[in-house]
Amino acid sequence: MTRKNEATRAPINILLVEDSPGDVRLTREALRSSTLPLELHVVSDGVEALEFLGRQGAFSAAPRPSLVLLDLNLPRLGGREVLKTIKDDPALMSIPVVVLTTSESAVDIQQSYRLRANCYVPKPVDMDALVEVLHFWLSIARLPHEAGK
Amino acid sequence: MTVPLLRSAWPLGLAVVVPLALAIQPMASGASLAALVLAPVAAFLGGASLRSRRRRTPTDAQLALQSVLGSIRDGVIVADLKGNFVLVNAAAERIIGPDNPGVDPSQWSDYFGIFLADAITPYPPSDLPLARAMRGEVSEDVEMVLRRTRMPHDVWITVSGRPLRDPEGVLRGGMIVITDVTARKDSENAARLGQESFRSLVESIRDDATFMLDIEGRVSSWNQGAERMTGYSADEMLGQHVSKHYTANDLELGRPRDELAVAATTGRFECEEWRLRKNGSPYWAGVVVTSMLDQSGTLRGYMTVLSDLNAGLRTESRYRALLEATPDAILMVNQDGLIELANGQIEHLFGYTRAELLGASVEMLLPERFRHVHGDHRHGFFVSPRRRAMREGLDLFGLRKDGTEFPVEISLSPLETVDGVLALAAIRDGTERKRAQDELVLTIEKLKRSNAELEQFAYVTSHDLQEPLRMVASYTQLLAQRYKGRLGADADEFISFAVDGSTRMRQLIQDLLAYSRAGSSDEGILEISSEDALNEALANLEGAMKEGSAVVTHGPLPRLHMDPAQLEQIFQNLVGNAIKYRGAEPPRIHVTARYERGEGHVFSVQDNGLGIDAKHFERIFVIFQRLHGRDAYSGTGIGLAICKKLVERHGGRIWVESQPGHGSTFHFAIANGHQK
Repeated sequence: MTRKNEATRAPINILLVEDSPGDVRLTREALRSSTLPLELHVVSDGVEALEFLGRQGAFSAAPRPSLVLLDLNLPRLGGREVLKTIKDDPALMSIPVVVLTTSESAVDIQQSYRLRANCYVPKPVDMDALVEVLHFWLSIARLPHEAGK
Repeated sequence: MTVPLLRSAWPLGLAVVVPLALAIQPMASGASLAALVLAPVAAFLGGASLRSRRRRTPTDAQLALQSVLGSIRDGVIVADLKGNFVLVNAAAERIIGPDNPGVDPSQWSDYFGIFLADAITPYPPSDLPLARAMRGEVSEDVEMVLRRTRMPHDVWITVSGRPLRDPEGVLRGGMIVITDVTARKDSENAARLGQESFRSLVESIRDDATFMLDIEGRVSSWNQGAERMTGYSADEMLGQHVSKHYTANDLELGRPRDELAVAATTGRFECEEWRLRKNGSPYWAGVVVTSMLDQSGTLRGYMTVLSDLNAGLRTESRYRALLEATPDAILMVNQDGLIELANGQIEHLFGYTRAELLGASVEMLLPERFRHVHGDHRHGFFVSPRRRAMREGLDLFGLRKDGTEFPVEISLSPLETVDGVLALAAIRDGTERKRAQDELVLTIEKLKRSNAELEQFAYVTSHDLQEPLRMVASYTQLLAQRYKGRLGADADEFISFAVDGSTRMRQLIQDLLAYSRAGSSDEGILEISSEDALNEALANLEGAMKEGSAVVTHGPLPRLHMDPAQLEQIFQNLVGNAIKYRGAEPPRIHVTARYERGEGHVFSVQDNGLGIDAKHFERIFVIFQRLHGRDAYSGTGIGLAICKKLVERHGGRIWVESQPGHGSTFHFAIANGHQK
């Protein structure tokens, strides 16, 4: 991956909202190939996701993530509600949210963008594809924490 | 023509000389007849001496007069000075009715129902021609109307009155001659209806012989019906006397002349008699002769209408046979809702006999709950009578005699008859049809549901299979990447089989998804250019075409109604296959189309590829069926199955002609006005 940050710099915080351990591990493995100073935080349902973002309860010391990878089908509180809450909150709305889901239904795609998702990605079967998606967001796109640097 | 005998009222003590010629002279008007009988009758009224002779045997002259008065169409009434009717001939009885007791002259208008020509104002009794004649006054052709409740319709008459005086000139009574002009009145009314009704009249009688005669009885016009009926052409008949087609017997009786005389006198003559065709064969003819008067009332000629009553009988019996042979139950209903005609199928359908039906209200064939609205419907039909089917959108039921109900289909037509418009109803038992239709609807519903369920099943299954597969595929891939060459040769081989298997499974599931989705997201049926669809498909295949050096050509391709994306997909699959399964030569592919009755647009994609053995012609269209090993050709065997599904969704079919080594031609037909 293209190096755009020095390893000594502050880590890039990524919040992964995913209840499937298989998918969590895959994402971890995909990120391993990156040389960027990444820090992956994982929560397994929508309630925890909002607590993490609001620094509530166990997450009072949580960092503000530069990118959210959000599954749509989650226990307790669904990904759509999480997405809506983030995008309705002026303090959070600038964080890019990548919807990462198994669903390819037109309804889910349209609804997610209507809720102002920044990107909708069907979970790739191929691991290389997942690496490419992450590469785009981390190395090609510019994230909010880089603004003004 | 029968000559009615005079009634017993005839006073036999009549001693007068009547010229015998009277009986056979055409009688042009009532007035001239009156003049002819005036003197002798007056003589009768005046002479007590006549009566005193008490002659019981009538003379020849008396018999002749008796015969004349009995046979003429004009009514003759003689009254004495008190108004007693002393003579009423048969024609007068026909007009005013039989059995006329002594009625005081002041009551005549009331008793006989006499009205002025306006048909409303009762006639002033003292102005009646007979009353005036009894006062010594003369009346000439006075028009009046007779209307009484027991008479079926108004009778228009003209009456001439003469006083009767004895030889000494003493007033003895009065007489009137009455002419029934109802027929003439009707034809005058008809004439007033104008050109339109005349045309429809001619239309209605086009099968009849219609011709005109001049006042002498010579033919002055001759229509086609007359040519057909008599065999005489217009050239042969024009100028000829009408007697030419009377039988010898009737000629001897002088009927041609008598008939015209009656028409001239009364305006109309009507009878049935034998007439002769040109070939000499007799036919029983219905004859109607109408006098034609100019505006001044002068006779100008006659209009004659002949109908062949034998033919009528034949037509009638044929029509009867037809009515009985038709599978529909047929009813004719008049404007009052009464059944005027019913065929055998009606009896069968409703369980009533014809005797029970005829004259009964048609509403008895309806279930109670429909009866109250039926009258309005019937009225509506007669207000604007036109052909209509009563099935659409309505569940109609009939009621049998045994009280059971059954669904019916009814089609109504107006039928113009001489008695007015009738409603002709053709009724079909809808039980079987309704049952079949209900069943069909149900079956279609079931089929639709099971089809939808199947598609949903395929979709959901393949979708849900993807989830665990993704895990298997991703982690075997990860294994391969991370541990290749580190776990030993066996492990490498196992991992590569696992990766290959999961990759193929992924492809199968994706194809299954594609198949279950094919055609489900219709863009809609549009009129499209099939050439555009082919070009789109070729653009998608650009890489494969370049790689295989394929050349694709096409003939003229039509515009048709279809979902454009689906046609494009069919072309893409077929041309793609043609490139993929190529032979030793670079692929040459030619696409053509033609229109075939019963098929619609038939497209053909011809290639010079490997060709297919005939035993595989069916199999290749089944999902996941492949003829080649995976090593030789990639793919799961989904393309033709999708083509088949799409073509069949458009009501068409797909098939192949091929020989191994000689290329293949895939044909598919798209019906143009197909179902979705």
